[in-house]
Amino acid sequence: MTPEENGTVMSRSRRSVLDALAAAGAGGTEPSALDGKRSGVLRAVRHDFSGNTAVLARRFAAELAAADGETIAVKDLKAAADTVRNILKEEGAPTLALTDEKECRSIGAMLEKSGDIDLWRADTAEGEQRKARAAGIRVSLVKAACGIADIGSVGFFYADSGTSYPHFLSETVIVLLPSEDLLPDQFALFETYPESKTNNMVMVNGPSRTADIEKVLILGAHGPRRLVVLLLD
Amino acid sequence: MHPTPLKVKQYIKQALHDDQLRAAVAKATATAVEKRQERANETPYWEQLRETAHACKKEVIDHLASYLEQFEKRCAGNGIVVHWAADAAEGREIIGRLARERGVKKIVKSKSLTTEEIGLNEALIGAGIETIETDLGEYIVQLEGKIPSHLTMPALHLSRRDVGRIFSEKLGVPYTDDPNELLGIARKNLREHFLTADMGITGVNFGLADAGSFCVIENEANAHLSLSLPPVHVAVMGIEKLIPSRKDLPVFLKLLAPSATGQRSSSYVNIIGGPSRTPFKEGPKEVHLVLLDNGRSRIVQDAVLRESLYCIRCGACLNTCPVYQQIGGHAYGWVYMGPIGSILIPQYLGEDEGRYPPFMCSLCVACRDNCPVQIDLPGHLLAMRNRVVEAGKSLPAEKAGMRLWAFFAARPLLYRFVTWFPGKLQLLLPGKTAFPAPGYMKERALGRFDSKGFRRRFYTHQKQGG
Repeated sequence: MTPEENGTVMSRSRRSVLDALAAAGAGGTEPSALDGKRSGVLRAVRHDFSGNTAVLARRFAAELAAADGETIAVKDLKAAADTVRNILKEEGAPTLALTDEKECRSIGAMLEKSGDIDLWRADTAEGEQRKARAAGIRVSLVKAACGIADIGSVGFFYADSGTSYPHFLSETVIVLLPSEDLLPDQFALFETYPESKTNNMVMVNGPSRTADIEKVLILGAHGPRRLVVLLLD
Repeated sequence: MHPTPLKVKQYIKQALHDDQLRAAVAKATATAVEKRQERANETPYWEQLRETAHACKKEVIDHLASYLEQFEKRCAGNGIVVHWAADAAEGREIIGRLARERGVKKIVKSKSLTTEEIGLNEALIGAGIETIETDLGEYIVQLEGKIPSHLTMPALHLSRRDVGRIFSEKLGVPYTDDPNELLGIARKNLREHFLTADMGITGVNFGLADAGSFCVIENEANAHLSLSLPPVHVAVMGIEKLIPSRKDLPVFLKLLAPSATGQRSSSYVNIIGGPSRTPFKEGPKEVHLVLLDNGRSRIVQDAVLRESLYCIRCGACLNTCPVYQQIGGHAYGWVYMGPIGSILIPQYLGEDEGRYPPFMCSLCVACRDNCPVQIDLPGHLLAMRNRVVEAGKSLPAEKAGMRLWAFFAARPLLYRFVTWFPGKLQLLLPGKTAFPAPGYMKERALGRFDSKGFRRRFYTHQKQGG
């Protein structure tokens, strides 16, 4: 079924494209020919790299560092809150944007007690307001759904976070990542999580970057200039 | 004026006389080739990845109708509105209509060769809609009034001084050639546009047939901002961009970034499966996907050349091509360039308009060795050359030359004489000069004929047991 308002012209195009392909013999499926290759690659990837949480954490940190991101190991949420406070001080930022996950709320509550940090929770504003406010805050704290060790990336599922504005509009993004959520590779991501999660997500490997002018690498193209992952023990 | 592959000779001459362009292209491509090689060397299963990626694309292209129907159904189920565009005009019409009906005044776009292919920007701007490219390289090229000169590095042909001059002239800012400052200017301007745009347009790197979602890969975060801040997101996807399953995506992710930029991973891999954040009062309320044919279904009809549809637009074949390294991307006269462009141009534009690019190749096969999906690029270039000749589109002088050669080749004694004679005749020339060749020698040296000749050398070599 061709969706919604597309009139006859669109339906005709759909039919003509599919008919042309069918006439070229490009119908049916035979994915079995592919299965051997798929499992072969997976075996090779896993043979090359697998490991326990400590190994995954080391690999994650090394790969993220190669992409100009930072990893700081923290033993609990209290230590995470202290680290966030230090980063805010380093950046000279009075306000912290944060997302609605319970770990972020807990850290927010600890920071709030000190009284010198202004907190803004992204879920408390909607639409244009959320956009404008998030764009005006230099540092944010968000939680990752998972980490991918062999490429040093963090994954955010919109179904969990509900937002990606603080993740992309702040200049410095602090990401909380529980070490038990570390996965060895991207294959594991799609094996572990259902389509409902991975269909709406973003994998992030370091701060935003460009080398479009004479191949000179510059961090902070249109998104964050700095990405710090707090790896929670 | 629009570039056209019919004028490649003129473009090549211009490029060869532009020392700055050649230096910039040489530097950028050398870096990319070196980094890609490092990544391939450090990945013991690199060849297995390439084979699997090839098998995935073969599976999809050989059964494209079925996968498209599956993909369309799953996308629709995820709330994505799917449109079909048979050609470039229909693609422009669909997107123009979506914009018009929603009263769109400003569009932010992230880099998409498919939208370049259909001339989307011109159409939208012509309809009075402010349309802004947001990838830094594309933004620069748009301000310059040109098209990208590389698949993944659009402004590769420009120096920092060029960019400084373009910014100063077009944006009215004080001149600077500091890349950091130039980025700062672009970031500030574009941030404002991201926040106020009514529509975001992106391309698609991969459509995930079984999941009904698609993937947009980038480094700058401009694609994410384009697809998450405006209330409407329109993605334009060539019908060949499908892969069978989301579980195959890692194979391609592991190949694309190393092949394109030498990174282990791209900075951002966005997967979009509909207006999923609407319940959270964020993100686009509508996601539209335009499936573009524009000649692809015709290419599928060719059992051999359909392999060119496996391309994932990484640009590795450009970087390693000795011809591209000399002339850059604009010399090919269209939005696709390098070895893959030389195959796609005649297939998309026809063997008449696209008759020259298949000959812009030395058949060194480096492109085939570097292609992450193992496309037999040199084989296809040869096939395209044959077609151009069979279609009677080769140059009259070339045809006459080949006829002359065929005449002698069919008469061995005569052939032996005419290949022996020039070598002897040149002994009469003073010093070690070669025969004069007016025109040809203006730009390159003509070598001397071998005084022994190929046949004698060959037989001597054989006698020596070679």
